[in-house]
Amino acid sequence: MSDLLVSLKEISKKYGENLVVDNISLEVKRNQFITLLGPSGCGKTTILRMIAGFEDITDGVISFEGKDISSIPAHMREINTVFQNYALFPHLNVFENIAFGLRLKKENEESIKERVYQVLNMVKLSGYEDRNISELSGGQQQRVALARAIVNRPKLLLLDEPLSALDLKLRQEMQYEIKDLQNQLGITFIFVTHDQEEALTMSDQIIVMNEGKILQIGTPEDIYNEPQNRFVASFIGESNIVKGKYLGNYEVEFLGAKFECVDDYIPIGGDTEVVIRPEDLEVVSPDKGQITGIVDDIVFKGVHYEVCVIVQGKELIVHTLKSPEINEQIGLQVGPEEIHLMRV
Amino acid sequence: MMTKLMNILKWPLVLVTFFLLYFPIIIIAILSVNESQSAHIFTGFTFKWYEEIITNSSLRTAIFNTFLIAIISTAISTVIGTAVAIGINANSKKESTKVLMLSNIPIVNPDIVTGLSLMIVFSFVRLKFGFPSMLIAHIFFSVPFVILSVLPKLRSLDKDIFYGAVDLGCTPMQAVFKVILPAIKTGIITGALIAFTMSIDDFVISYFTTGSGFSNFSIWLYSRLGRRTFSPAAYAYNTLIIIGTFTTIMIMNLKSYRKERKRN
Amino acid sequence: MDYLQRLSKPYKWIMYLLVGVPIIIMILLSFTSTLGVDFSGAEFSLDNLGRLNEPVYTQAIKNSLTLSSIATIICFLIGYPIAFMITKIRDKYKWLILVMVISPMWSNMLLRIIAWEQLFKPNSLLNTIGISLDLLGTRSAIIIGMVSIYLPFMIFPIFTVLDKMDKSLIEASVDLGATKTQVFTKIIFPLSISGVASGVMMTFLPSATAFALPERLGGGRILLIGNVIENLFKRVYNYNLGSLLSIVIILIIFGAMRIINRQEGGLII
Repeated sequence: MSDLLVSLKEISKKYGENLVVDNISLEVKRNQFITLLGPSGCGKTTILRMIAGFEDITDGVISFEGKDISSIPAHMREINTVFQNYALFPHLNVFENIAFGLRLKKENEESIKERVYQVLNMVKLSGYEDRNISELSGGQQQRVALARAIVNRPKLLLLDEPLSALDLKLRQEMQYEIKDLQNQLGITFIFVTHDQEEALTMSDQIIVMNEGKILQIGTPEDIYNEPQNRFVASFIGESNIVKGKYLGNYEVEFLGAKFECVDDYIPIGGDTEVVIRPEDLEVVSPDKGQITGIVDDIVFKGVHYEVCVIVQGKELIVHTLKSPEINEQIGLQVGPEEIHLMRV
Repeated sequence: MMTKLMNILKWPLVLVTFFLLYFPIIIIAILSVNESQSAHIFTGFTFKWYEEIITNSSLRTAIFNTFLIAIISTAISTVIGTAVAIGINANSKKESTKVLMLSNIPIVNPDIVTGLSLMIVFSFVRLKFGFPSMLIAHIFFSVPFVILSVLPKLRSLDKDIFYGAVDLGCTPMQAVFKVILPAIKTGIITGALIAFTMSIDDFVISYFTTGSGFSNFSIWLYSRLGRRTFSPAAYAYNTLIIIGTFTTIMIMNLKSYRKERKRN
Repeated sequence: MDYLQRLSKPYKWIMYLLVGVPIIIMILLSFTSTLGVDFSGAEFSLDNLGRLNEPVYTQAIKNSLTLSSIATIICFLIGYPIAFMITKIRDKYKWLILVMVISPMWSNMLLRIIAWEQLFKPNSLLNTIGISLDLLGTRSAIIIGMVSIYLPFMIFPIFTVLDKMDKSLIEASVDLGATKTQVFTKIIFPLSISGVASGVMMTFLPSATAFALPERLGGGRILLIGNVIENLFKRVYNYNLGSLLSIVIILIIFGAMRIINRQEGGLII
């Protein structure tokens, strides 16, 4: 049994004149947590729906376990979906919602009961089987939606922004639970979200998308530490992006100063875009800093202070535990590993 | 100042409204137990007109026809209307506005225009005038009401419910029957009730689309106005209908009232 | 999904037919002379247009427009306050009152018209309480009949809109300093216009085109457009002139609806 589960080859989707998905190719292996990450309208949900079978493919081939499934209708694919608004059936209670797919397959009553209770346990909703959907909170409905999908033992689970309707604390809780679930079940999850923190927390691999195209594929660390272009850099985490010049010999010049760095794939003398995360800039006294600037604004964020510093006319965001005064002149230091060069 | 005016007018308005709405009904009820057949003298109390509802064969047939048409046309128009509403809901805005505007036409058109239009079309295609033509006419004006009742309920549904069912293994048709229809049940029932009510009481459209002596109650009535063939049994029938409907509604509301109480 | 979208297509085409074909036929009939709907041997003729000017027909149109307008205005003056009052009733009794407003509509309209007809005669049941009305055949009789029948149609749409109104809008206006009267004239009434438009339409259109009502209550003396058309189609079998008059009505209705629609900028219903 090959490791490859789903493969999209040159997939495009057009709505009328509108190209929503632009020539996407990607491969998904078994037992992985993959996230499609991008802003609203980037095409991530459309890709998910094409894999599920709810949308037709304009161009390209989708293969599942090596076979072309483009012509197989949605209800016959061994794939299940968790929808953004849960799509729970209002006229059925929790048990019947979860059992729905099993009943269609005409499983016997005993087996249905066993599997439904088992999966209720997994999503921590034991005892809720007789409840009406309308009586459940958002978080509980979300778990029922999950249960309803996984009870069918699909080979692939698609999740379309399932946590977007939950409040922050609940969302963070569910992120861990869903990740846990994926580990337990050992099946591939393809997760769609616009929340980069969610993607970083849960994924084995992140696929960053914008305007129908894939911008970068990588592990959370890769994407965070080594964004390949401006969009990814500014979409993931906060970052400072300034223009610079690579001088060769692991030296890069920006903001009027020279810095040691660890990337050397930029041609010597070439332009580059330098990415530095706010938490990697250290506030020091002006004489100790590699560069100096004036504090323009400072906001207390709980975990740290967010300080806005003007350096050489450019605005830099710094996350620090120190709390300088507004209009104070401060120095900034950054280590070589924390300077990331992007090709222009 | 306005509130003072409103306060003075309040009760007179209520009285006038009550009078305008109920006076005819009260008169009808009184006449239904009037010994005399004439409508201007009350000569005594009797229930004989209620008996005559059954014994008067032409009236009996007319009432039977009324219900026959109502039940069949309601059944058919509910099915058609629900299907069309589902179609409208699944379509693009452009397409659904087109269909909605078309379906609003029978509602907005005055009865006489609808009746005449149908009569002209039926004549043109040489459809037999009578039961078939009246049935089609009733379906024609009932379907829009079903659509208008079902559509809001459809719109309030989670858009992904259909896909949820398909995702779990339903064919599209199974999804409609197992998931969509149960979820919009109340809309369908309301639509059916409205269709039934509109059909039972229709006069003008039926008048223009009937033939070969097929009469519903309204036509029976109209053809006997001011003539000797008129019978106060009509008043009796009408009073029964009002009492029956009123009672049914009260019972149903008490039932749901009790249900609510139980739940709390 | 594709499958679902297909469900409304056949209906669309059937409706185009059932609505379009009659209009085409009526237009054809209006400008020809035929035997009923039999077009064989038909000749083009503008006679019917000329007959439109006959006093019978112009008077009928006038009657329809004036009497219905008066009835509609009365329905509005009574119906709006009543709808407003119903919204103030406690929920428990609200539905009861609503049912009571609806119930007369279950009673056969013709019978109710007959009841009024009998009451308007000098010899009526009212004699027992010493009243004798001689209103049969008068315009007042027709107007009273119209109001009696169509008042619920005015009350309901207005009530629906008023009931659904966002209470916080009223609170906001009071917060900004509006008196009770101003709240009504500046907030409540303008926001209820769509309901008023619906009510006006559902009262004016049917009453203007009714024929049984004016026939019984007008004593045969006052003719409305409905009477005239019914007569032409069912008794005189002059489908041609009848069609022309029907088209005139349809145009008037179209015009009225466009005016009302423009006032509130959108589709009613």
